[in-house]
Amino acid sequence: MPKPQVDILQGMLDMLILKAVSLGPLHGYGILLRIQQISNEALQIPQGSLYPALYRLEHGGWIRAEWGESENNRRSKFYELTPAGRKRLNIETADWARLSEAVGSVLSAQPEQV
Amino acid sequence: MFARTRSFLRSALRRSRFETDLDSEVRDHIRARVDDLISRGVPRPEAEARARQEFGNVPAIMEDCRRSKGLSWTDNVAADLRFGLRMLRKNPAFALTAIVTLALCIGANTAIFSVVDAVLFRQVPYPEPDQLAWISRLEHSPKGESEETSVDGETWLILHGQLRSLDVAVFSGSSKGVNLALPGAGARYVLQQRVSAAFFRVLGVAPMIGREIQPEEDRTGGPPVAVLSYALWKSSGTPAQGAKIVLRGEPYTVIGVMPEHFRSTPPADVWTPLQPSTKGEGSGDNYGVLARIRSGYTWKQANAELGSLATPLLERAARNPGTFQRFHLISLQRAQGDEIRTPLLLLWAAAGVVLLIGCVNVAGLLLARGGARRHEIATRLALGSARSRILRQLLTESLLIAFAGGVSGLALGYGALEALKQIAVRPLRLTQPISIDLRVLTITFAMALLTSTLFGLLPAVSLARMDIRTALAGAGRAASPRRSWSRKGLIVCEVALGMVLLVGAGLLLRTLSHLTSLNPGYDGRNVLTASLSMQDARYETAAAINRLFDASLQSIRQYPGVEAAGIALSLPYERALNDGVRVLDGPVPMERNEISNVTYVTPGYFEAMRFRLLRGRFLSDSDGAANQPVAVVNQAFARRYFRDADPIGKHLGDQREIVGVVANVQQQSGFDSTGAIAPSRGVYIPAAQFPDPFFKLVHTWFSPSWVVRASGSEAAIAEALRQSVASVDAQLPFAEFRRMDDIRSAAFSVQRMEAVLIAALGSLALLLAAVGIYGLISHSVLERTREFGIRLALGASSRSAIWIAARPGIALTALGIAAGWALSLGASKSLRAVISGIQPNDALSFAAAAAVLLIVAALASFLPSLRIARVNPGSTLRQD
Repeated sequence: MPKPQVDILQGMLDMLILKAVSLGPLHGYGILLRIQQISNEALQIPQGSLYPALYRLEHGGWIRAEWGESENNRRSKFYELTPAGRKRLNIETADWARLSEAVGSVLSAQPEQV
Repeated sequence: MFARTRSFLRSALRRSRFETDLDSEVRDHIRARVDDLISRGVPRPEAEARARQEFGNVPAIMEDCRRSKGLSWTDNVAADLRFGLRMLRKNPAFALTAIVTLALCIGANTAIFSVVDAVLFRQVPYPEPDQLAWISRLEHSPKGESEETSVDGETWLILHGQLRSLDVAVFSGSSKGVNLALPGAGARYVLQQRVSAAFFRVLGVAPMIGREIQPEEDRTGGPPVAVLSYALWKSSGTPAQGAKIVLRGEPYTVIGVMPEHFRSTPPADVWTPLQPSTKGEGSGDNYGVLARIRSGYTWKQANAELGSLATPLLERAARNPGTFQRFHLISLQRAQGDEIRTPLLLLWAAAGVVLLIGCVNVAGLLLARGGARRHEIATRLALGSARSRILRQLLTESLLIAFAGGVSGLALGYGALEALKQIAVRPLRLTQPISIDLRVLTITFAMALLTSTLFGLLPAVSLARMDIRTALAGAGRAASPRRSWSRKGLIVCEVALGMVLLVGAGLLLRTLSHLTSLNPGYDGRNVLTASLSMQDARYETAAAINRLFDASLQSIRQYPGVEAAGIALSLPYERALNDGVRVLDGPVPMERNEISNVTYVTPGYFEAMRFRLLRGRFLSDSDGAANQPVAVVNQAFARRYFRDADPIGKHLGDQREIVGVVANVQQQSGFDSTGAIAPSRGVYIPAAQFPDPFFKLVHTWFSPSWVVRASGSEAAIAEALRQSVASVDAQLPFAEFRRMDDIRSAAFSVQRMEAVLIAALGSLALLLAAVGIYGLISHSVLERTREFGIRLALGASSRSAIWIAARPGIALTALGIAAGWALSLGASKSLRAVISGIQPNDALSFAAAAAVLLIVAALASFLPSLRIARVNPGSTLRQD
């Protein structure tokens, strides 16, 4: 049964990728699967935007890629977090937490609180 | 930042690796998705289709990935280059014409600029060259201003030791070939320059070993010392200090050696003290004054201080009323290139004109091409291409042409420079090394870039104004009349500029033919000459000198094939001794001596040179030291002092009797005020009657020449001449053997070089103009094929159609010739200094240039028009 899906903003995609690979090296399709899995299928990554984002992150030095064997013995490109990427993930996680708390408190505001 | 650069470079440098990685990654992803779908029960064909669809537009995503890596601009440039190359390949005639045009212009300019740069612009090779100067005298007189770069001993005394702002030294302006004998080795011929104390200090180059000439060595009677060049020191094997060498028969002590790369102007192997004086050599303007501006002073201050010194000169000038002299600094760099400045600048200007014509040509080509591509560009714009992208594309194509033109131009330039050196080194007396260096390279590429991008932008400008609808509607038919007007204007410019060059070439060729057709006054065929330096302590008396002369001449006359032999102080075309001469009993009373060329000659000289005897007799052995002093004068002398009277039997100073009159011989040529060939007054005196002190004095300046008229092998005659002198004195080596004809042709070498080079550049201009006209006409024939088809269909003869097609080329050329005629009238005045025998507005040169241009234009116009004869009216009309 399909669950309601959420559109992903550009900046969020980077953050999600960083988070996904922070849990262990993954290849492109694996990242996609992991994000869907953790979000309980709520977040659908448009497949076309995944790779440009990966290349952008690699170019920026936040993740690095290496060729290796995948579970079914195929050569795949695995991405993992770099120290710079970990730092950025921490900052973005904190920022996101603040932002979502702020947005959440705005949205949950009751008339008498204003 | 660093990570990004590294990541970019890694991807950019291993580009194919990057592409296969990207490709297999995308493939891997899709395969994984297919597997996933199949495992969820989707049938394979459907799974594959869905996986692909979900992934999206693969090429677009891959392009996104590339952009993420910063690779997209390299891709764009590569694409532009590929596209540009394809466009050029598609239209090879255009590409080839543009590239060859650029290559020819740039090649010619590179070669000529290398010479101009080395001679006129390159700083002299001494430290702080901008502080080095030459002191000259400016003389203002009612006739105008003249500059004299040499001074006499008295003037040097005024300049010496008085100037606060300048460190000065003096030297003898020429280096001379002299005989050098080394202890234990034979004699050799070296170049000696005489310089004052502090000469090397002023230049800023200290001897590598030892010291330079000191003031106490630089006064009359000072100890004879010598500084050697590195090359002479190395090859002589003498110790650097204290070695004894024998120069011109006198012993000298070596005190120092100059560094390996030191070069004086003129080049020399050995430097000895000048010992300046106010007598003898110092009584005339025989010194050059070198100056270095002392630190703390400016050029202006130094000039001002020099100006304040003028008082004694003013007094002297008072004798010539109305004149006024002052000292003046000119940069050493300028002073050294002074003589050849005019011919070089003329050449450079001519090369510049060729470049200009080339630019005009390329502009015309690009305009035509812009017209042809209007439709293509409009289509691209209509399909949504950005104007900036198309602009970049056009610029890339221009750069490609510039690059190809520049590189092939450079290759041509190397070849042209080698050829130029062959032609120009001797006439221009180039002593400095000349090559295409970084400076010349930079200029070359700047030229290529400037010419092609500037003109590459022309179509781009029209692009900015382009209205897509009209351009598309025009569908490649005739270009707008405005464009064709600008192209026609360019043709007129080209022809006009070409006319200027051709007129110049014509004037110079006519000058050369005038000069060589003149009767030289002697017969140089089968005459071999050789000179040697007599500046030698063993030859200071007339008796010793004449013994050598007589014995060697007697010996050479014995040799089979020798018809006549003699010796003269100076040969035709060589600078002759100027001396004061006075006619005692002529029809024109003379109160003072007046300057004439004075040459001592031995009997046999006139016969060997076949001078033309007009009156009286030649000299003979009976005109000895003890006999009546005699002289032979030339026609110019006779005419000046005797008018129509007979000079024979009349007397010069010292009761010297005139016994003969000979025809004038050509004296000198060059770019000076006296014109190409000056018939100067000449007096010939028997060597046997030349006084001792005079011999010694003139031999410091001149080396006499042996002259032999003989049939048979030149090498054998030369060897015989060498032996006949060696049999008398083995210590006297000849400098070089030259045929009299070669001396004559060398005398015209500057004119010949100018004529050859300007004619070459003129031909180049002609070729370029022809290419331009051909291009215009063949282009318009192509554009108007339809129109001509209609004309032919309506009954026009193909002859009249051809004429209509070719007419614009000829009409434009006529217009260009008219403009060029006017331009040439102005420009040829600047040639006044280098032409002779004709006027700058010489009708023949102008008419010939116009005729050549017309013929070439007619060919270039009719050849492409002939294509009309093959036009099939029917098929043309059925097109579009």
